[in-house]
Amino acid sequence: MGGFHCPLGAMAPGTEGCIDCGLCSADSKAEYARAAELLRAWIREHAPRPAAVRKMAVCGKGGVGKSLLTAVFARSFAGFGYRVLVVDTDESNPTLARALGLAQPACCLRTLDDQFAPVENGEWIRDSMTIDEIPAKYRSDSADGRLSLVTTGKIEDPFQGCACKLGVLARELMLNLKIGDGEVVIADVEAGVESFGRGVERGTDTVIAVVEPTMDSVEVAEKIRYMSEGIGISRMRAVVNKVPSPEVGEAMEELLTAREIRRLGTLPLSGDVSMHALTGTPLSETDETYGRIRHMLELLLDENEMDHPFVR
Amino acid sequence: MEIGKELTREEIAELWGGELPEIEPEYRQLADAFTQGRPELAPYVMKKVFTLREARAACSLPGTAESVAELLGISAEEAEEMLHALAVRGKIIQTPDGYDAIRNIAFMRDYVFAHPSHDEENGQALARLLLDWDSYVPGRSNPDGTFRIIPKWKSVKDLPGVMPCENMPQMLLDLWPDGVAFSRCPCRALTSIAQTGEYRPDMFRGDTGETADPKDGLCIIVGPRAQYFARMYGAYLPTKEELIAKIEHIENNGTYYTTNNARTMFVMCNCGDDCNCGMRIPYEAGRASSFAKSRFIARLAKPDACVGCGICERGCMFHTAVRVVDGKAAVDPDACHGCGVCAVHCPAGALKMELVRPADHIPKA
Repeated sequence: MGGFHCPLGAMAPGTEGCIDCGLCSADSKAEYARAAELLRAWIREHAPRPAAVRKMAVCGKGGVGKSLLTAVFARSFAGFGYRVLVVDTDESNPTLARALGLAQPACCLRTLDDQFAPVENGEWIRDSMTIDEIPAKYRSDSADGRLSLVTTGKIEDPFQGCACKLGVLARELMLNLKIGDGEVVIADVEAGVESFGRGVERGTDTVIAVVEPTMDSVEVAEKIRYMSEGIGISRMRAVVNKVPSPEVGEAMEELLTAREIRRLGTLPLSGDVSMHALTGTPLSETDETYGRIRHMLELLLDENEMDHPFVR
Repeated sequence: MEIGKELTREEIAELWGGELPEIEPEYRQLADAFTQGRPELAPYVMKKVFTLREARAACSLPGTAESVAELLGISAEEAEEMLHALAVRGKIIQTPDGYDAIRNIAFMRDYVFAHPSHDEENGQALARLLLDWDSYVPGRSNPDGTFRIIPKWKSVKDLPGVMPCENMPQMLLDLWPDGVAFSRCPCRALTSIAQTGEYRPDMFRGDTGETADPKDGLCIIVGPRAQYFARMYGAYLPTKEELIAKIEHIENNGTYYTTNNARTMFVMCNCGDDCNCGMRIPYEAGRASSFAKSRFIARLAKPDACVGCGICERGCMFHTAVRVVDGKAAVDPDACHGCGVCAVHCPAGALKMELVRPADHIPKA
């Protein structure tokens, strides 16, 4: 153990910075273990913590698999012991509730039954509200209470109002929610880059872009990265979905790397996943794709030194 | 090379460079105050480091110029001059209250050989004595896994799951401006002076770029010690541009990053197969290195692209962890420490790093 090697930067034993852990004079495994324990306790108390993933937006072009990823991320987070809120802003897509294994919330955050009706919706949103303070009538909760779904509204009639208003509500919610340790909110953001203009991601610290192996999709991811940086989100990761062969996967990796887009993982084209999407049933936890997505989440948490039970 | 071996008087005499002198009680008292073993060697190290008068002063520390002046019957100015000279030579340290002894031979070894301008004064015999002391270290006071390898950032930056404590460039930039200084590597200084009588950074592999100028040093002093090293031992405090240029050099050269084995960095070295405690001495003794491996290993990801040029094999510091077998690079996953040097240097881009160990591999504290 040399002079550059004191973990706390003390110049010599007993001088400034020395906590008398005994590491530098340890002469046996037992002494070393005791010193290491003292050091770790000290460092745990004093080391800075990296910013955690608390508000995540999953986005990408329509049909790339955002709902699949959102659902499995949410279920995995819940499996790791987190309290999870899923915000469905994809008002044209009724599948997320099914993929989560939850009932569609009885009431969406805002209905557009009559666009000329007075705006009573959204007035319950207030600064620093917690997940549990969202009125129960808007939420659909899992039996164990770990997983909740809210939806900002569905357009069921093409002549019925404008989706912009739904976007505003989702943005307000993302900005105002107070997410503590052991909690996370995941927004499934409506297809395409236009959502960024609405600022849903402003309350967001993590953006996941789901891409498929088309140049269009890669370009969308590049725009998402660019827009994310512009609103101060440095944590943007791509997930490559529907990859038909290892060669295509490799080509995608290179395309993303060339655009400085960091990748979280790659999912092969899967018949099972298509079947679940067709039948509207949630993916089983033992499904290979489920395991791959859960592993991606583990990697994302590792990147931010967040706890999770290690599952292999 | 044998680890932790006690030396005979004849062996010590050989390191000393002649017949062993009488050891005055002051040197024994100083040696006893040091927190690590080797009672047969330490008094001779002390005798090389301190004159008898200096040894008496060092024995009385912690203290001030005044206390030492009274002890030795000299003026406070004289005492201050002596203590300051000892401090800039890394033999004692300056504290906010005055001066203190170092009490750890490994610390002293690093400080004494930190400043290039005292090499001649220190001499080859002291280097030999302290280098031998290093053979005592691996597995004893520096147990396996105290230090960890971090891969070259370039070799892992696009992989999912890389942790902040594996992003060396960012960690260094975060420490700038107060907590980063450049110094020469004390292992390379000590080893070359012990073996050849002069500081010869060109003896070592890995394109270190080290010279006698601390600005070119690859030993990056991080944290609170950076300022002390700059003030006392001439370590260089870089501008941000210079730090970025240094990172760029290290990212592309053949040394590997090591740090204390935890998620917060307090120490950072750029080592080669010259790292005495980490690998040179353990390897010469036929043991594994004492480094904890990184969470990655190299893998021949594109076998078709590999032309068997052998750059990976020649650059591997971990002795044949990657070799050319039948015209293709082959990685021994047990020997690979995951430093990323081969992946960075593979001209065909055939070798890539792969994440193989969980986050828990790196102790949380």
